[in-house]
Amino acid sequence: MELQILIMKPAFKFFIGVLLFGLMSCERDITLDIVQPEQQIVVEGIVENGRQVSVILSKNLPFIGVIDTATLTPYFVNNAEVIVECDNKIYTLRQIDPSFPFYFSPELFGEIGKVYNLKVVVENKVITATTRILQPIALDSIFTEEVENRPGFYRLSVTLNDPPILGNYYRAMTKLAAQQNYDTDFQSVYDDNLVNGKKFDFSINNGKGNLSDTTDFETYGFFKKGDTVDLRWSVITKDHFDFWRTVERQGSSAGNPFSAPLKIKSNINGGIGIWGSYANANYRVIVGGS
Amino acid sequence: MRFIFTLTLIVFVYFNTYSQSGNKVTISGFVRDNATGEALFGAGISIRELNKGTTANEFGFYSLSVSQGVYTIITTFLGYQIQVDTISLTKDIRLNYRLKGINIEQKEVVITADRTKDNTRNTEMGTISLSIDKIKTLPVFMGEVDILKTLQLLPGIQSAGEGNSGFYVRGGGPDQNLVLIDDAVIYNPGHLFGFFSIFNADAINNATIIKGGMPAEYGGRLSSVVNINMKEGNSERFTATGGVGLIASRLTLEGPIQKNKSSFMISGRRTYIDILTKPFINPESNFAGSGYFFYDLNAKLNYQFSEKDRIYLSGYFGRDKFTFKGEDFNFTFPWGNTTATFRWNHLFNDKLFMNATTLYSNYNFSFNAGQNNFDFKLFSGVKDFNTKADFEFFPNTRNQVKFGINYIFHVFTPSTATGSSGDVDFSPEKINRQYANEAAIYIQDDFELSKRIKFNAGIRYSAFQQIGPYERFLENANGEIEDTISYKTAENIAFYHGPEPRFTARYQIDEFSSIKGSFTRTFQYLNLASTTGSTLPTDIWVPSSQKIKPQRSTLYAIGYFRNFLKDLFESSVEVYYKSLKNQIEFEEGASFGFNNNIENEFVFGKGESYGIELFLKKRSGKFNGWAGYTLSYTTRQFDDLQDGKSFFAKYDRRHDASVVLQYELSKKWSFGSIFVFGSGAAYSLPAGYFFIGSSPSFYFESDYRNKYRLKPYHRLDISATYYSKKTATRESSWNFSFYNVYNRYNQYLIYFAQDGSLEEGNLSTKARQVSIFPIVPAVTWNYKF
Repeated sequence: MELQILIMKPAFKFFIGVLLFGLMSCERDITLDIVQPEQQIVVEGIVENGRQVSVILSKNLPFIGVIDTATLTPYFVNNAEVIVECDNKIYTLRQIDPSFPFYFSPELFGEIGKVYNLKVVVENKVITATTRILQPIALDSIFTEEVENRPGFYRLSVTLNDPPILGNYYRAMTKLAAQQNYDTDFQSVYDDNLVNGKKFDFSINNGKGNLSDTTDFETYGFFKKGDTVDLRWSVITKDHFDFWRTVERQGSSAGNPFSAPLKIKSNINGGIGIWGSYANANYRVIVGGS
Repeated sequence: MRFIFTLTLIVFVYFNTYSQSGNKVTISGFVRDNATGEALFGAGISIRELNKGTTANEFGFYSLSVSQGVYTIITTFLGYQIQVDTISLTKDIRLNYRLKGINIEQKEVVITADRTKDNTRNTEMGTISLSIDKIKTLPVFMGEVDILKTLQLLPGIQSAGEGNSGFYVRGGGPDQNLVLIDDAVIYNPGHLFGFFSIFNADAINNATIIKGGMPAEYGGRLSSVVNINMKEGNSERFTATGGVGLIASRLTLEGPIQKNKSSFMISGRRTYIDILTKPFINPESNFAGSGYFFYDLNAKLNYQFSEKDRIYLSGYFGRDKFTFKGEDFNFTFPWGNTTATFRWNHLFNDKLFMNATTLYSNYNFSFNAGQNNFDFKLFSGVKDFNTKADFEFFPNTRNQVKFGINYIFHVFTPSTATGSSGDVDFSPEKINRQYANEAAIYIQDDFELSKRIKFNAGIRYSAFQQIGPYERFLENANGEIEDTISYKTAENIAFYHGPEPRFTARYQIDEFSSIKGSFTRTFQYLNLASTTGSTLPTDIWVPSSQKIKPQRSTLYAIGYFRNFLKDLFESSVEVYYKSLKNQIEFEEGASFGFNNNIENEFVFGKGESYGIELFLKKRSGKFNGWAGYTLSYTTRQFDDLQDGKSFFAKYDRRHDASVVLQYELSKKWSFGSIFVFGSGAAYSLPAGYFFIGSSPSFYFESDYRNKYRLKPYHRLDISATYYSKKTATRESSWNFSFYNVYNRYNQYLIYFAQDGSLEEGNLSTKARQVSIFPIVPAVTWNYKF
């Protein structure tokens, strides 16, 4: 039904915009009296195979005017006690920069198959979460194809051989080799509900986050000939999948009369956010190359 | 089983007792329209000397048993000339009436005859019948007469949203309304996301809504019954009725096949705005290649074998279809209802009438999309095979007994996805349909104990069983499927049953006023899985199962009914309290996944609703209309939602008022107006946001559900109808309507829109309101010949 909600939106817009000769429907900005939210600790914790375990701590914000990075500073959670337990060993994660709430331990790296228990103590709150790095599932092949009627633009396609047991969850991220961080498409997580146990091809969009009014749909999701693209294909847990699924659905359902308000699912006890693991398979491909 | 046996015994004894009463004679027959031969459902037949009477059932049949004597028999029906006959009754007699419609010049004279005291005298509570002719002169949205929207103007019945034909009755959801066309269930009564109902007014004879005090003959839904009967077809002459409107046209043909033996009616409606707008759509725009239309087809045949036997065959078929053709991506999604009804009316004798019915109902939705080499199809639906027999027994003027039996076989198709990518096929091995048996037996008596006291007591016993084949997926706390149980064909999966007592009592205070009270217990075995408050084509019907217990409601209502100014006005005050058990909602963050058991995504809770409803109606005259006001409170409580804290339901509306006025100025002109006012609908908003990465996500407080209210809703619609020709056989009229005359921007939706980005330092969030219908003019030409 998630998909159903998405397809209802263009249908509704068509009805309002075209069937009624564009006479109808009016949108205007309004001022609302929203209650101040209860303060919550927001956890963004990542555990990946072969990479350092990291946690960013912040707080939720009320609706305020224009936001830049400086506005966020008061919502950073510094000086927290952040502990991760793995294989009966306790690691304390610390900030490098005391003014930025990025916590890590130089000794703690993610390993396939291991369980990581997080505990954060701050402002009289105790926050806990647990996750496990699953086995990565490699892609069978990666290839690029030129898009019809879009010379110079290429679609990135992959072949996945989904294991026979139902219940695999994936996340795809891409970046150009020169970029530091990975981007995702507005829909970056997949389950194997429809495709369980099948071997098939599908395309992965050039990640640019949420669609907006300025998105160029002519070329959205494609790569350019000659781009060097890094693809990260990760196996994630069900609760990690649910987190991104609800985040992404929230992003695509704003202004949609057919979707109910959506609270984001979290696996954090005593706070909000995600303690998420990735079992990564990494690839590099030259677009238009062999 | 013991219950059924006991019930059968009671019925048997009852019959014998009444059938043996001596010196009584029975007058019975059918009341029909003189010009068309249509049954006049609700026509009054009374005996002046005894001050006793009855009403014709939906097939026009009546029966009265009295002592031998000479009596004055008065037959009345709103909008028809009264008929008065003096008859000497010495033996059982069949009296069929053909009432003549009245025209405007005659109306002043006939008003006195039209005044009846039905509303204060009968035991019905919360039951209102609508005259289709009256509805037709009211203002209409975009030129389409809509019965369900007119119902929303009655107290206790609220609109599901701006321009929407969906409705909530006394705090119940849209799935708790039993919507019937010729007894067949309509699972989704809306076209175009609910903006129009599927009922083409030209094809309809009458519509009745029961919002409380549901008689035992009805079951399966908690909140209301909307019973719509199609026209039988003019048995006297061939006629064509139709209209050309802003977005759709209609044509109805009807006439005798064999005079006074059989007749037919066929009616169609189709929207054509897709064709009209096509030249105006910019081929470069995102909408190019898109299209939408809906159509309806109603048909009915009837054949009278003898005085005692008549059969009816009727059906409805309707579809909505939306198409989108992009360069890279295309989809179509069609949805719609199909129904078929076969009825056999049989008179065993003058006192016992039977209507045996076989029914078929089907609703299905599908979505077919293609992108590159990837094809995808999603579909869902519900299908019923239904058979029932309803009996009406008229032992004497003090009792009117109804009893019957009903069996339904349901087939539910859950949201099922199939697809293919190149040569790879993703179709599931089999579709995990759900099958169920539903059955009910009922008996009720409308009994006059004394002049002052009358009651309607009934009991319905219903049962529901989900049977195999079915694959049940068991999930762990994290929502992962851990185990599967496979049920074999016809294997019992879940079985529920129980009594549903229904009771209404009337105490007549004086000639003009009465007090009524009712108690109604109802079970509902089907649930609509919906994310919004209105019925969408994508919503899925789900049966009770091991996990989903049947919904149950208990309604208590008490009312004061009074007529004044010599019955020119009728008024009522009703107070009700309703408790709802085993209500369903989607769990927080539900995935609405396909190819899974959707029941795994539900949480269960309870609800309650209470309120007061005021109603004032001027029954007749050139200037007539009604006003209704409702004050109500509706809440829900789910242990697994917002820490068990109760919240206002989507269906909660504090104040709801409507004023409907009609004025017949002359033979040529009549005017109508509708004013509605409602407290703002309850809705949910986030309380702020949080950052994971650089993009913000909305943060909802734990008790966020329906915490906010939209601004109060109000709107005035007006209409003028000009009859360019009006004779007994020919009619041509123009209806000019203005929806939302003073162009109020009522809030339809509020959401937060984000602009800019954190990196660029200009991220902002603004609340935005969407209003969908400003003033909408419409003109419709209607004709009849």
